[in-house]
Amino acid sequence: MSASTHRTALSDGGSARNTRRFPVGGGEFPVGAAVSVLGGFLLVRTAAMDVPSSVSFLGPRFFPAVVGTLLLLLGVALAVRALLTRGSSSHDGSAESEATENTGGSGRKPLLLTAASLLAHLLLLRPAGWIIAGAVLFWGVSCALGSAHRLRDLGISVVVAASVQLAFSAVLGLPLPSGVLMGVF
Amino acid sequence: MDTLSLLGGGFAEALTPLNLLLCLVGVLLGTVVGVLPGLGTAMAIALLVPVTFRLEPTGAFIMFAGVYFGGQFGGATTAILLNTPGQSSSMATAFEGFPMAKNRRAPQALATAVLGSFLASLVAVTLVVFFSPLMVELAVGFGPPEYFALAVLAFLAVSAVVTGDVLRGMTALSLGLALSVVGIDEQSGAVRFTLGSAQLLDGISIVVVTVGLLAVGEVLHVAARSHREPVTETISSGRPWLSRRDLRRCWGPWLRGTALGVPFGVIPAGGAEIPTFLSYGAEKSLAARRGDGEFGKGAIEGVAGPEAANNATTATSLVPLLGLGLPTSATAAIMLGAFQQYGMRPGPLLFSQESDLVWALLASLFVGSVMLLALNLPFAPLWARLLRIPRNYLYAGIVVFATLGVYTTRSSVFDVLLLYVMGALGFLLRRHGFPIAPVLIGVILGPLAETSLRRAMAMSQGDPGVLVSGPFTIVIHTLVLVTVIASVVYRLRRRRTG
Repeated sequence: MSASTHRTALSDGGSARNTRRFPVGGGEFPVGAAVSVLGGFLLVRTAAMDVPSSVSFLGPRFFPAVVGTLLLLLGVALAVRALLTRGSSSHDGSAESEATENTGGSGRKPLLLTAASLLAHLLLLRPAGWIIAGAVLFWGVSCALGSAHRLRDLGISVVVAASVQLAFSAVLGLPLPSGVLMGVF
Repeated sequence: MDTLSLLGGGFAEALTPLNLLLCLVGVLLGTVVGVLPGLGTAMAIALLVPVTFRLEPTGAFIMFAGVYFGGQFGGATTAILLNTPGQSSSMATAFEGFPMAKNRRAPQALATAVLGSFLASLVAVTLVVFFSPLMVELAVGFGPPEYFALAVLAFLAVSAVVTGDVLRGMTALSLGLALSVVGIDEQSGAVRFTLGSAQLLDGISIVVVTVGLLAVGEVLHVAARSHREPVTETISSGRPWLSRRDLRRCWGPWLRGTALGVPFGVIPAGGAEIPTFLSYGAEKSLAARRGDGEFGKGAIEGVAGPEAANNATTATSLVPLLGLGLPTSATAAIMLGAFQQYGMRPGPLLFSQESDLVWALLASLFVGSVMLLALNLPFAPLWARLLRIPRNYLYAGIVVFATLGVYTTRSSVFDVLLLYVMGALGFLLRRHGFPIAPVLIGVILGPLAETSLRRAMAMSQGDPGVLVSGPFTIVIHTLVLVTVIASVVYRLRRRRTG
């Protein structure tokens, strides 16, 4: 029941917040900066790489150096374009601004819940075993995306995780960690 | 004839009960992901690669091909009934298909889509059967310079031409290339970009990258905008059928669509979207010339042409994939990655060493097309009901399946962590409007580009002239130049008019 109230709250504030948080073209500047930083990082690590002495023409450094330079230049280009478009027109309906608007902003809570489920799964997989970790993953994601019956979904999650364990271990012979439920299976 | 006897052997292999079953599973799954918007054949095959690793490769590839074909058939159903194309290659189908459905002509629209898809698949697969060996004969003489040129062609085509935005496309490609250099360098043994992590010495597995970007990234993306999904209403339809009059109107568009689609599979132009729009445009202008004003209100020609075109493109994209190892669409790139997982390299060697697999795969394409006809013609309305599956279960299932597949390939929690990191990357790329396909092409073809470049330079003792020495390299590099210039001119002209 709390899920539905949260969702309506989000959908009310969603679009308004979206336009405020992602001014057209402005979202691209940090992206460009990040791409440049990544390119610079590649170049630095390439320069610091240990290269075996036997290398002839075009050693292991050449290709990463090209890719690093590309990323650096592309990042600068993206950032410059973001600055230019922000200066000239703030509301033209170009394809890029539309893409940013369609995909940007809002829905923070479902996203965080999904990310938290992934993290919980990672932490639980070895110690608690697949059935528990898998059920947590399924339940978390299905709740994040708007579950109507949380308790019923918990049951479904356990059934899904258990039948997957059965299918993988028994039929395909692929091992999954059994964790704390070791004795049961 | 030699080809025919090889194909006969392929049929014998494809018609074994297990392979028939795998083909059926593939086409069913393909239809499902085709029908459901947001899920694509690329994602489906990426998810299947790790779990089919224990299967015989022949069976696995028969299944992948079934998914690839099934997606094209399924995409039309929801485009027509709901105006929500399940795949980007079905967008053109919705233009006339949905108005037809609103005019109570849904059965005819579905029938022309399915029959057109079937016809185009048959024609195009026949061409694949006879042209792949020719492609192989051509490719036997290819050395490192030629493969480097091909990789460059694929890079530029996918990132600069297909994507709407060159900067974003090139950035996505470079990110993919950057991912591909992580790990021990095969030629020199140098350790690259592992950040001291022993688990990264083997590099980042293609399975982890593809599943993370396509499946986990998509789920995160859906979560971030979960409440903004539009509500769709289903138009109910009867059983698909065509009257004799409709059939007469469809023949031309089917054949023209096939003819338009066939060449687009062979060149790396990013899959079936462009030919479907070309076919739609061609049918529209032909109708205008005839003085037929039905376009826009549900003209059957506008469904028949694009549907034939996208299936023809899908089929012929197997020619460069099998013959050269050159993927011309995102799904083909995933299949190439799958070949690499099995330790096979598409190209002339595949045809000589894995001849049984290749011919069984080609034969199974005919089998799969027949299955798809039988599954889609009578049951198309049933498939549309798949949209009633609660989305939260669907996406939760996808995450679980993705995690499981990646974990079981190496029993490594680190791989799962990497999978989620790739998912986060895929989410960020989608959120900022970057295309995913160039990343995939970069990761999968990056190592080929690097090794062939370095081998070529070693052969020539450091003379870069070797890269443009042979006749094929010159042809391919000219092609690269022509595509880049053509796309720049097209863009400038559009900017001026628009």
